[in-house]
Amino acid sequence: MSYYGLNRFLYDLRTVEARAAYQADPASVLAAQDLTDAERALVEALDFNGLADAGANTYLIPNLGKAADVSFPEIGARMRGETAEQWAESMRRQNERIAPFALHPEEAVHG
Amino acid sequence: MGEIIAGIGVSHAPSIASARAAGQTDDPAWKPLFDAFDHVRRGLLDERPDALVVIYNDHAEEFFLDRCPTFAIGVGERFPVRGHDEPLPPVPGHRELAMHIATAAIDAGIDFTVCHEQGVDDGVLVPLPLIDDEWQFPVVPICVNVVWEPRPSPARCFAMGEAVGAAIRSFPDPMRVAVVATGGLSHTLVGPGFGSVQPEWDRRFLRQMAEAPDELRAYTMAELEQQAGHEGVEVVQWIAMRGALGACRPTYTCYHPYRMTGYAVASYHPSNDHEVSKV
Repeated sequence: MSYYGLNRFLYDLRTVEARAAYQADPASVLAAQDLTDAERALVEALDFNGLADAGANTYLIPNLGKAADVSFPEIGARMRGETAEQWAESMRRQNERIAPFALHPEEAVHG
Repeated sequence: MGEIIAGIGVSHAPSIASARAAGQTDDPAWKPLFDAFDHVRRGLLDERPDALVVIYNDHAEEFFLDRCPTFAIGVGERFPVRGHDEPLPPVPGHRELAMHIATAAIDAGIDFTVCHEQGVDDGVLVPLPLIDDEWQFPVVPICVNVVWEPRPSPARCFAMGEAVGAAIRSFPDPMRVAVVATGGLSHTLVGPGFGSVQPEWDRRFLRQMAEAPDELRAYTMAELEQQAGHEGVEVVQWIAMRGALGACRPTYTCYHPYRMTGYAVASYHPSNDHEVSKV
Protein backbone atom coordinates (compact mmCIF):
# COMPACT_ATOMS: atom_id res chain seq x y z
CA MET A 1 0.00 0.00 0.00
CA SER A 2 1.27 3.47 -0.81
CA TYR A 3 -0.85 5.68 1.37
CA TYR A 4 1.04 8.80 0.38
CA GLY A 5 1.31 7.96 -3.32
CA LEU A 6 -2.39 7.18 -3.62
CA ASN A 7 -3.47 10.37 -1.91
CA ARG A 8 -0.86 12.42 -3.79
CA PHE A 9 -2.37 11.17 -7.06
CA LEU A 10 -5.91 12.03 -5.94
CA TYR A 11 -4.86 15.40 -4.51
CA ASP A 12 -3.12 16.34 -7.75
CA LEU A 13 -6.36 15.67 -9.63
CA ARG A 14 -7.92 18.72 -7.93
CA THR A 15 -7.15 20.99 -10.89
CA VAL A 16 -9.07 21.05 -14.16
CA GLU A 17 -5.77 20.79 -16.06
CA ALA A 18 -4.68 17.65 -14.19
CA ARG A 19 -8.06 16.01 -14.75
CA ALA A 20 -7.90 16.82 -18.46
CA ALA A 21 -4.43 15.29 -18.68
CA TYR A 22 -5.67 12.17 -16.92
CA GLN A 23 -8.71 11.90 -19.19
CA ALA A 24 -6.52 12.28 -22.27
CA ASP A 25 -4.13 9.49 -21.33
CA PRO A 26 -4.98 7.68 -18.10
CA ALA A 27 -2.49 4.88 -18.61
CA SER A 28 0.52 7.20 -18.85
CA VAL A 29 -0.57 9.34 -15.94
CA LEU A 30 -1.15 6.26 -13.78
CA ALA A 31 2.17 4.70 -14.80
CA ALA A 32 3.98 7.79 -13.48
CA GLN A 33 2.38 7.55 -10.04
CA ASP A 34 3.82 5.95 -6.92
CA LEU A 35 1.09 3.32 -6.77
CA THR A 36 0.99 -0.42 -6.34
CA ASP A 37 -0.54 -2.54 -9.11
CA ALA A 38 -3.51 -3.22 -6.84
CA GLU A 39 -4.06 0.52 -6.34
CA ARG A 40 -3.83 1.18 -10.08
CA ALA A 41 -6.47 -1.49 -10.59
CA LEU A 42 -8.76 0.16 -8.03
CA VAL A 43 -8.36 3.51 -9.79
CA GLU A 44 -9.03 2.04 -13.22
CA ALA A 45 -12.07 0.15 -11.97
CA LEU A 46 -13.39 3.27 -10.18
CA ASP A 47 -13.74 1.01 -7.12
CA PHE A 48 -14.50 3.83 -4.68
CA ASN A 49 -14.97 1.64 -1.62
CA GLY A 50 -11.81 -0.25 -2.47
CA LEU A 51 -9.92 3.03 -2.73
CA ALA A 52 -11.29 4.19 0.62
CA ASP A 53 -10.26 0.89 2.20
CA ALA A 54 -6.79 1.36 0.69
CA GLY A 55 -6.51 4.69 2.51
CA ALA A 56 -7.79 7.19 -0.05
CA ASN A 57 -9.06 10.32 1.67
CA THR A 58 -12.83 10.85 1.70
CA TYR A 59 -12.45 14.38 0.37
CA LEU A 60 -10.06 13.45 -2.45
CA ILE A 61 -11.99 10.52 -3.92
CA PRO A 62 -14.41 12.97 -5.64
CA ASN A 63 -11.47 14.35 -7.65
CA LEU A 64 -11.23 10.98 -9.37
CA GLY A 65 -15.00 11.03 -9.79
CA LYS A 66 -14.75 14.39 -11.57
CA ALA A 67 -11.99 13.07 -13.81
CA ALA A 68 -14.21 10.11 -14.72
CA ASP A 69 -17.49 12.08 -14.97
CA VAL A 70 -18.95 10.42 -11.88
CA SER A 71 -20.80 12.92 -9.68
CA PHE A 72 -20.52 12.97 -5.89
CA PRO A 73 -24.08 11.62 -5.36
CA GLU A 74 -23.27 8.86 -7.85
CA ILE A 75 -20.11 7.99 -5.92
CA GLY A 76 -22.31 7.74 -2.84
CA ALA A 77 -24.82 5.47 -4.55
CA ARG A 78 -22.03 3.23 -5.81
CA MET A 79 -20.47 3.04 -2.37
CA ARG A 80 -23.85 1.95 -1.03
CA GLY A 81 -24.24 -0.55 -3.85
CA GLU A 82 -27.42 1.15 -5.03
CA THR A 83 -28.77 2.61 -8.23
CA ALA A 84 -29.62 6.33 -8.25
CA GLU A 85 -33.31 5.43 -7.76
CA GLN A 86 -32.60 3.08 -4.85
CA TRP A 87 -30.38 5.72 -3.26
CA ALA A 88 -33.13 8.35 -3.53
CA GLU A 89 -35.58 5.92 -1.93
CA SER A 90 -33.11 5.08 0.86
CA MET A 91 -32.68 8.79 1.60
CA ARG A 92 -36.44 9.31 1.63
CA ARG A 93 -36.89 6.48 4.12
CA GLN A 94 -34.03 7.64 6.30
CA ASN A 95 -35.44 11.14 6.32
CA GLU A 96 -38.75 9.80 7.61
CA ARG A 97 -36.95 7.99 10.39
CA ILE A 98 -34.67 10.84 11.49
CA ALA A 99 -37.02 13.84 11.17
CA PRO A 100 -38.79 13.21 14.54
CA PHE A 101 -35.47 13.70 16.34
CA ALA A 102 -35.38 17.38 15.32
CA LEU A 103 -35.08 19.97 18.06
CA HIS A 104 -36.30 23.29 16.71
CA PRO A 105 -36.02 26.64 18.51
CA GLU A 106 -39.54 26.91 19.94
CA GLU A 107 -39.08 23.51 21.56
CA ALA A 108 -35.35 23.91 22.15
CA VAL A 109 -33.81 23.44 25.57
CA HIS A 110 -32.83 26.73 27.17
CA GLY A 111 -30.58 26.68 30.18
CA MET B 1 -8.49 41.09 30.46
CA GLY B 2 -9.88 38.81 27.83
CA GLU B 3 -13.26 37.20 28.25
CA ILE B 4 -15.19 34.44 26.49
CA ILE B 5 -18.68 35.82 26.02
CA ALA B 6 -20.12 32.77 24.26
CA GLY B 7 -19.48 29.41 22.70
CA ILE B 8 -21.20 28.59 19.44
CA GLY B 9 -21.42 25.28 17.58
CA VAL B 10 -22.46 25.18 13.92
CA SER B 11 -22.51 22.57 11.16
CA HIS B 12 -20.40 23.32 8.10
CA ALA B 13 -21.66 20.85 5.49
CA PRO B 14 -21.44 22.37 1.98
CA SER B 15 -25.07 21.35 1.42
CA ILE B 16 -25.96 24.36 3.61
CA ALA B 17 -24.22 26.77 1.23
CA SER B 18 -25.78 25.00 -1.76
CA ALA B 19 -29.29 25.32 -0.28
CA ARG B 20 -28.67 29.00 0.39
CA ALA B 21 -27.34 29.59 -3.13
CA ALA B 22 -30.41 27.82 -4.51
CA GLY B 23 -32.69 30.22 -2.60
CA GLN B 24 -34.06 27.50 -0.29
CA THR B 25 -33.70 29.34 3.01
CA ASP B 26 -37.52 29.56 3.34
CA ASP B 27 -38.10 26.00 2.11
CA PRO B 28 -39.72 24.13 5.04
CA ALA B 29 -37.03 21.47 4.75
CA TRP B 30 -34.30 24.03 5.43
CA LYS B 31 -35.97 26.96 7.19
CA PRO B 32 -35.47 25.74 10.79
CA LEU B 33 -31.73 25.49 10.19
CA PHE B 34 -31.40 28.89 8.50
CA ASP B 35 -33.56 30.44 11.25
CA ALA B 36 -31.09 29.05 13.77
CA PHE B 37 -28.10 30.52 11.95
CA ASP B 38 -29.95 33.85 11.80
CA HIS B 39 -30.61 33.70 15.54
CA VAL B 40 -26.87 33.39 16.13
CA ARG B 41 -26.11 36.15 13.59
CA ARG B 42 -28.46 38.60 15.34
CA GLY B 43 -27.06 37.63 18.72
CA LEU B 44 -23.52 38.43 17.59
CA LEU B 45 -24.71 41.82 16.30
CA ASP B 46 -26.12 42.52 19.77
CA GLU B 47 -23.17 41.22 21.74
CA ARG B 48 -20.46 42.62 19.43
CA PRO B 49 -17.49 40.39 20.21
CA ASP B 50 -14.05 41.83 19.42
CA ALA B 51 -13.07 38.59 17.71
CA LEU B 52 -14.26 35.09 16.82
CA VAL B 53 -11.98 32.15 17.52
CA VAL B 54 -13.15 29.62 14.93
CA ILE B 55 -12.21 25.98 15.56
CA TYR B 56 -12.71 24.03 12.34
CA ASN B 57 -11.23 21.29 10.21
CA ASP B 58 -9.71 21.53 6.77
CA HIS B 59 -10.81 19.04 4.09
CA ALA B 60 -7.52 18.34 2.29
CA GLU B 61 -7.72 21.81 0.72
CA GLU B 62 -5.08 23.78 2.62
CA PHE B 63 -3.29 21.01 4.46
CA PHE B 64 -2.26 17.93 2.51
CA LEU B 65 -0.26 14.94 3.71
CA ASP B 66 3.02 16.57 2.65
CA ARG B 67 2.90 18.49 5.93
CA CYS B 68 -0.17 18.35 8.06
CA PRO B 69 -0.34 20.06 11.45
CA THR B 70 -2.38 18.40 14.19
CA PHE B 71 -3.42 21.83 15.49
CA ALA B 72 -2.78 24.96 13.40
CA ILE B 73 -3.51 28.59 14.29
CA GLY B 74 -3.69 31.39 11.74
CA VAL B 75 -1.87 34.51 12.88
CA GLY B 76 -2.03 36.39 9.57
CA GLU B 77 -3.88 39.60 8.79
CA ARG B 78 -6.22 37.83 6.40
CA PHE B 79 -6.96 34.29 5.30
CA PRO B 80 -7.51 33.44 1.63
CA VAL B 81 -10.42 31.33 0.43
CA ARG B 82 -9.70 27.71 -0.55
CA GLY B 83 -11.95 25.24 -2.35
CA HIS B 84 -15.17 27.18 -1.86
CA ASP B 85 -17.69 27.87 -4.61
CA GLU B 86 -18.97 31.29 -3.57
CA PRO B 87 -16.77 34.29 -4.42
CA LEU B 88 -15.90 35.45 -0.92
CA PRO B 89 -13.28 37.99 0.12
CA PRO B 90 -10.43 36.87 2.39
CA VAL B 91 -11.39 36.51 6.05
CA PRO B 92 -9.89 39.22 8.31
CA GLY B 93 -7.58 38.00 11.08
CA HIS B 94 -6.60 39.29 14.51
CA ARG B 95 -2.84 38.99 14.66
CA GLU B 96 -2.45 40.25 18.22
CA LEU B 97 -5.00 37.88 19.76
CA ALA B 98 -3.83 34.96 17.61
CA MET B 99 -0.18 35.42 18.59
CA HIS B 100 -1.17 35.70 22.23
CA ILE B 101 -3.19 32.47 22.05
CA ALA B 102 -0.39 30.67 20.20
CA THR B 103 2.23 31.81 22.68
CA ALA B 104 0.21 31.02 25.79
CA ALA B 105 -1.02 27.66 24.49
CA ILE B 106 2.46 26.52 23.44
CA ASP B 107 3.74 27.63 26.83
CA ALA B 108 1.02 25.43 28.36
CA GLY B 109 2.06 22.41 26.26
CA ILE B 110 -0.29 22.63 23.27
CA ASP B 111 2.14 22.88 20.38
CA PHE B 112 0.26 24.76 17.70
CA THR B 113 1.73 25.07 14.23
CA VAL B 114 1.80 28.85 13.85
CA CYS B 115 0.70 29.87 10.35
CA HIS B 116 1.29 33.35 8.98
CA GLU B 117 -0.39 32.09 5.83
CA GLN B 118 -3.42 29.86 6.23
CA GLY B 119 -6.10 29.40 3.61
CA VAL B 120 -9.54 28.53 4.99
CA ASP B 121 -12.03 26.21 3.34
CA ASP B 122 -15.67 25.16 3.81
CA GLY B 123 -14.94 24.43 7.46
CA VAL B 124 -14.93 28.20 7.98
CA LEU B 125 -16.60 29.51 4.86
CA VAL B 126 -19.90 27.62 4.93
CA PRO B 127 -21.07 28.85 8.35
CA LEU B 128 -19.26 32.19 8.64
CA PRO B 129 -21.35 34.14 6.08
CA LEU B 130 -24.46 32.93 7.92
CA ILE B 131 -23.38 34.27 11.30
CA ASP B 132 -21.37 37.30 10.11
CA ASP B 133 -22.44 38.29 6.62
CA GLU B 134 -20.21 41.35 6.40
CA TRP B 135 -16.95 40.00 7.87
CA GLN B 136 -17.42 42.43 10.77
CA PHE B 137 -15.61 40.34 13.33
CA PRO B 138 -11.93 39.43 12.99
CA VAL B 139 -11.29 35.70 13.07
CA VAL B 140 -8.60 33.58 14.69
CA PRO B 141 -8.81 30.28 12.78
CA ILE B 142 -7.77 27.12 14.61
CA CYS B 143 -7.60 24.04 12.41
CA VAL B 144 -7.81 20.52 13.83
CA ASN B 145 -6.59 17.62 11.71
CA VAL B 146 -9.41 15.08 11.59
CA VAL B 147 -8.91 13.89 8.01
CA TRP B 148 -5.43 12.32 8.10
CA GLU B 149 -4.10 9.60 10.37
CA PRO B 150 -2.95 9.94 13.05
CA ARG B 151 -5.52 12.29 14.55
CA PRO B 152 -5.65 13.93 17.97
CA SER B 153 -7.88 12.27 20.58
CA PRO B 154 -11.06 13.95 21.85
CA ALA B 155 -9.30 14.37 25.22
CA ARG B 156 -6.43 16.13 23.50
CA CYS B 157 -8.86 18.38 21.61
CA PHE B 158 -10.61 19.22 24.90
CA ALA B 159 -7.21 20.07 26.41
CA MET B 160 -6.40 22.25 23.40
CA GLY B 161 -9.67 24.08 23.98
CA GLU B 162 -8.86 24.53 27.66
CA ALA B 163 -5.50 26.06 26.75
CA VAL B 164 -7.14 28.36 24.20
CA GLY B 165 -9.73 29.43 26.77
CA ALA B 166 -7.06 30.16 29.38
CA ALA B 167 -5.07 32.09 26.77
CA ILE B 168 -8.07 34.24 25.84
CA ARG B 169 -8.71 35.01 29.52
CA SER B 170 -5.09 35.99 30.00
CA PHE B 171 -5.13 38.53 27.17
CA PRO B 172 -3.75 41.70 28.80
CA ASP B 173 -6.32 44.15 27.38
CA PRO B 174 -10.11 44.09 27.22
CA MET B 175 -11.04 41.49 24.60
CA ARG B 176 -14.48 39.91 24.23
CA VAL B 177 -14.33 36.66 22.30
CA ALA B 178 -16.89 34.20 20.97
CA VAL B 179 -15.47 30.71 20.42
CA VAL B 180 -17.10 29.10 17.38
CA ALA B 181 -16.79 25.38 16.65
CA THR B 182 -17.76 24.16 13.18
CA GLY B 183 -18.64 20.70 11.90
CA GLY B 184 -20.88 17.75 12.62
CA LEU B 185 -22.96 16.34 13.80
CA SER B 186 -23.31 12.76 12.52
CA HIS B 187 -22.55 12.04 8.88
CA THR B 188 -20.72 9.51 6.74
CA LEU B 189 -19.38 10.18 3.26
CA VAL B 190 -17.64 6.91 2.54
CA GLY B 191 -18.44 3.20 2.34
CA PRO B 192 -21.70 1.24 2.38
CA GLY B 193 -23.05 3.59 5.06
CA PHE B 194 -22.62 6.66 2.83
CA GLY B 195 -25.28 9.23 3.74
CA SER B 196 -26.33 7.70 7.05
CA VAL B 197 -27.29 9.93 9.98
CA GLN B 198 -27.39 8.86 13.65
CA PRO B 199 -29.98 11.13 15.29
CA GLU B 200 -30.06 9.22 18.59
CA TRP B 201 -26.34 9.78 19.01
CA ASP B 202 -26.57 13.43 17.92
CA ARG B 203 -29.16 14.15 20.62
CA ARG B 204 -26.98 12.38 23.16
CA PHE B 205 -23.98 14.45 22.08
CA LEU B 206 -25.92 17.70 22.49
CA ARG B 207 -26.91 16.60 26.00
CA GLN B 208 -23.27 15.79 26.78
CA MET B 209 -22.22 19.22 25.49
CA ALA B 210 -24.75 20.77 27.85
CA GLU B 211 -24.32 18.62 30.92
CA ALA B 212 -21.45 16.18 30.76
CA PRO B 213 -18.15 17.50 29.38
CA ASP B 214 -16.31 14.65 31.11
CA GLU B 215 -18.15 12.20 28.87
CA LEU B 216 -17.02 14.17 25.82
CA ARG B 217 -13.35 13.82 26.60
CA ALA B 218 -13.75 10.14 27.46
CA TYR B 219 -14.62 9.25 23.86
CA THR B 220 -11.99 7.57 21.73
CA MET B 221 -11.67 8.54 18.08
CA ALA B 222 -12.73 4.99 17.16
CA GLU B 223 -15.91 5.37 19.21
CA LEU B 224 -16.72 8.71 17.58
CA GLU B 225 -16.14 7.21 14.14
CA GLN B 226 -18.47 4.34 14.96
CA GLN B 227 -21.18 6.43 16.62
CA ALA B 228 -21.05 9.79 14.81
CA GLY B 229 -20.01 8.31 11.47
CA HIS B 230 -16.80 8.35 9.49
CA GLU B 231 -16.90 12.13 8.92
CA GLY B 232 -18.81 12.86 12.14
CA VAL B 233 -15.51 12.70 14.03
CA GLU B 234 -15.20 16.43 13.32
CA VAL B 235 -17.37 16.98 16.42
CA VAL B 236 -14.01 17.05 18.22
CA GLN B 237 -14.11 20.76 17.30
CA TRP B 238 -17.24 21.15 19.45
CA ILE B 239 -15.42 19.23 22.19
CA ALA B 240 -12.50 21.68 21.97
CA MET B 241 -14.92 24.62 22.15
CA ARG B 242 -16.54 23.07 25.22
CA GLY B 243 -13.09 22.78 26.77
CA ALA B 244 -12.48 26.50 26.19
CA LEU B 245 -15.72 27.53 27.90
CA GLY B 246 -15.38 26.05 31.37
CA ALA B 247 -18.58 26.33 33.41
CA CYS B 248 -21.39 27.21 31.04
CA ARG B 249 -25.00 26.58 30.20
CA PRO B 250 -26.72 25.94 26.88
CA THR B 251 -28.71 28.97 25.79
CA TYR B 252 -29.91 27.87 22.37
CA THR B 253 -30.10 24.49 20.65
CA CYS B 254 -31.34 23.63 17.19
CA TYR B 255 -30.96 20.10 15.85
CA HIS B 256 -32.11 19.47 12.30
CA PRO B 257 -31.48 16.00 10.90
CA TYR B 258 -32.06 16.09 7.16
CA ARG B 259 -30.86 13.95 4.29
CA MET B 260 -27.17 13.19 4.83
CA THR B 261 -26.35 15.27 7.92
CA GLY B 262 -27.41 15.78 11.51
CA TYR B 263 -27.25 19.57 11.32
CA ALA B 264 -26.94 21.52 14.56
CA VAL B 265 -26.63 25.11 15.73
CA ALA B 266 -26.12 25.73 19.45
CA SER B 267 -24.98 28.46 21.83
CA TYR B 268 -23.48 28.24 25.29
CA HIS B 269 -22.83 31.03 27.75
CA PRO B 270 -20.67 31.21 30.85
CA SER B 271 -22.74 30.14 33.86
CA ASN B 272 -21.86 33.29 35.75
CA ASP B 273 -23.46 35.37 33.01
CA HIS B 274 -26.70 36.51 34.63
CA GLU B 275 -28.11 38.37 31.70
CA VAL B 276 -30.24 36.48 29.25
CA SER B 277 -28.09 36.40 26.17
CA LYS B 278 -29.22 36.92 22.61
CA VAL B 279 -26.63 34.80 20.84
